[in-house]
Amino acid sequence: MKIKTILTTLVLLQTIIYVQAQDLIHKVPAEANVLVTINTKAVFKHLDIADVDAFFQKVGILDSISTASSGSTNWMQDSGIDYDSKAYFYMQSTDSVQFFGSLIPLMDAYNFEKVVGANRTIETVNGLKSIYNRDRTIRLSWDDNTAYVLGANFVEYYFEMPEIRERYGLPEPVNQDFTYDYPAEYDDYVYEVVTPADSVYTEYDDWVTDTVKVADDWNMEAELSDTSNIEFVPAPPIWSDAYDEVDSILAQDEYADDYYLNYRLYTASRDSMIHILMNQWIDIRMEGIISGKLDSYAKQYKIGKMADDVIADLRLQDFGALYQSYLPAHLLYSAIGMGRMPKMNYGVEMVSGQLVVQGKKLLIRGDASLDKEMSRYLKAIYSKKMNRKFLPHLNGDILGFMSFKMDTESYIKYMPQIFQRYYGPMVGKYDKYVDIVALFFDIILDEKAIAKVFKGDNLLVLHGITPVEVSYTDYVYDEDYNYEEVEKTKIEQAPDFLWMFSSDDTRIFENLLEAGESELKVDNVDGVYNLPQSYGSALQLHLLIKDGIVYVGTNQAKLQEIKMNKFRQKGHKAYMNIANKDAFSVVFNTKRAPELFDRMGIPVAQSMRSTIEELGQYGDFVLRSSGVKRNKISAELSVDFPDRKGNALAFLFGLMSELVIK
Amino acid sequence: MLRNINHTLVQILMRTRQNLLHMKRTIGYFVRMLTLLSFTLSLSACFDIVEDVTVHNNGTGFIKATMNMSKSKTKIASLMQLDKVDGMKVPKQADVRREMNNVISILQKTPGISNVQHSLDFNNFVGTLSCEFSSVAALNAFTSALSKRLEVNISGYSNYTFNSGSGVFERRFKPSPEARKKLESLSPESKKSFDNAYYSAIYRFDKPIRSVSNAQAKISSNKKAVMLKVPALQVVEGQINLSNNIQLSN
Repeated sequence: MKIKTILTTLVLLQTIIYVQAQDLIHKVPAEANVLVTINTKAVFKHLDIADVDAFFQKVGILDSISTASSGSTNWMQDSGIDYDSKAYFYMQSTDSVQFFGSLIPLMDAYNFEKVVGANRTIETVNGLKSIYNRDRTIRLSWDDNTAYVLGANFVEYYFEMPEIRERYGLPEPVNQDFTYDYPAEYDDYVYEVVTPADSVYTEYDDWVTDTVKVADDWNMEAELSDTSNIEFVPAPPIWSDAYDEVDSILAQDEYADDYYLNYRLYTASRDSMIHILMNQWIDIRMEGIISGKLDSYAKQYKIGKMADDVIADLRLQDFGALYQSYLPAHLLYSAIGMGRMPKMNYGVEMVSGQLVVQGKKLLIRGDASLDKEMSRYLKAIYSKKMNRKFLPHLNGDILGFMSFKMDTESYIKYMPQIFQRYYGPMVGKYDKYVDIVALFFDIILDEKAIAKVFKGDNLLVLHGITPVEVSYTDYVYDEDYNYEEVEKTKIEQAPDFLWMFSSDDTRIFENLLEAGESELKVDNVDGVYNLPQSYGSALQLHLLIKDGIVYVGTNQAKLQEIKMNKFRQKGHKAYMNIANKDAFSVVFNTKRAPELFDRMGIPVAQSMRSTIEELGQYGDFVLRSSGVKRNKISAELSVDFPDRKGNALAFLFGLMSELVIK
Repeated sequence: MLRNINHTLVQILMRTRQNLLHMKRTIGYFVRMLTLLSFTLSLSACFDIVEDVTVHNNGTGFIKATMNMSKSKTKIASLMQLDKVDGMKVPKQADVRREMNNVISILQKTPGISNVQHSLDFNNFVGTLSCEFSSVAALNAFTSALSKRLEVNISGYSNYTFNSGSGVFERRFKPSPEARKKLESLSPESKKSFDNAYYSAIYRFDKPIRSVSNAQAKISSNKKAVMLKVPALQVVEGQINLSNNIQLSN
């Protein structure tokens, strides 16, 4: 019995090790700051692969991927991709280059090659069959089990820095004197010309012959001996011909007044040289990924098991750095005359998101891991409880609601610190001014006093729409066409809502109402105040203060009921749970949408009619955030779709197919 | 330096826009619902334009133009809370007042135009503009000046003549191709929203009217006024022409 148990354990262990070895997460580099995992098994548990094939065929996506797919009806099935294992897509940003890559599991490398290699040149690089794109900045390689994709984009600003240009022997940028003296209103346009983001790709064909010839002579292989560190900088290549050629073109008189052409020639020459660098870096990095020499993402970070209902998972590591890499920081800093931008730290360590299918419900979950300081601030801010007296207003027939609870005292107390943390680093040496602004608010706001007036729990209930009588000016003509203005009325539909919030100190509202009454702008009708209408508005708002709650709404009768303690209603359990538990929520009762369209007389285009009518079969749309738990702030968006396709993913895919085919 | 800052701001705005686009996608469904609801704001635009012209025997006269949008006031009030609708800037009260002041200024400087008066009621969204003119030619000069100011070819599509000798008052009108083109670009549903918009032209004279050339124009009981009230949509579409040749009694 004991031997049997040991044997069973060994077999299971071997299976676990084999399964782990198969999972390509171990080959994702540790430095990746964006990682997307596609749980293909879960995708095709919910979608029929033949339907996806048919859809791709109809919209012609497959033709652009592979010429071998033309006419094939089972491209997806026959592509050799292993749909039982997960596929990974990742991105790594550095100050010089942005790598993007993917790892796709294969079950039949022969079929894969047949599909992707048709009419393309297949090279063997380090023993692996590989295909490059035209400028060799994207490489696809594959072995029996995996297809590896790796590409690189260079950061233009980095390669424009004088020391970097000098290090790599890159040409000088075109002198800005070539710029045509545009009128001021064309400033933005000039800017587009100075740094065209996609000039490499969009313009390449036109002048590739000149520049590739230049770059081909530039042999850097000897210098690029280091294989792992992409920050490694080789000695500058000697390549005088390239300079001569670029300089000679720039020196030509006929181009002197043509900034565009000169700039294109400069970027063409520079880009082709950088592309050679990129290509070398890609090859070095690809070798590291395939051989497993690079540190693995799975070792660096904790990766949880992906549930069967999770379709895709997104992880952003070091969110501040990633966000900063997308900010045009160098422009900001060069404009206000400062050096490099300090590292931003928003207190957000990792952001993750998941797309989940639970039957007919589709969920998008998002989490952000916070550092200790930010957790402390936000925990205090979102610690407020909802006044339970609000909850009976959430009956099952309402059109929707929004709840928001925030501890006003903590908000005012910590907002200056959060403000300072967000904007301080952005403005470099001017951060003292941000400190002053933060301090100013800290001093002038008495958080305890304000927190008494607005405790921070809010509930806005949208009951639907209600008919209201609206006056308008019209003309009455006599028999000689002399006319006089008359006031007429008509019925319009206006939103019917009730907003409530708690207040321990209602004096300010009472004083305002008294002042309004004395100016005859506010009516007091048995304790319920009619507020003045804003210009043109059909909405008549009413206000009631009772038992430490301020009610503002459109339905006077309902406020009177509340005033007289005659309001008797039971809340819908699911809605009450959301409003009570979550720090923030928006709920929309989608099935009432078609009725709303009818009542408001909204004309619906023929093509949209069935979509609108189908909204009646949707469940609730819910956006909710439970606030901060441990060190995480989370939010979730969910939609209940109609059941006609069996699950939410299939329904959405069907809807997309119908729309595309229309 | 300024150019650098400008470029920087453009870049920041572009990045911000991208971030906003991401956020927008995340709550795309909700936004779509709200968009569908808010779309109603631009619908059912009921308004009246009334042009009331008095022409005396000596060619002097008085004109009062009224734009009454009070039937749509709740929708306009909501619209004015927004900055843009379908990419078009929504004017604020201050913009409307500024433009009205510009028009007044042009009118006051136009030879032959006097006693210029106006009113703007932002509770009911009714605006009026009136003035006296020394001759019909002055009225045409005003239209022409206004065309230049608003960069709209009003005068090319509408003008007046009055021959006191023969007693003929004529309004010549041809539909604006630009307006028609813009209208044609709207969906049938959006076009339908103009169903309740009317254009009324009233012309009053000292002498009785003998005949009118426009079959849709109606002569008053005292024979001294004629009114043409037509759907604004049909005028823009060119289905109804506002041209009218009015023959007065000798």
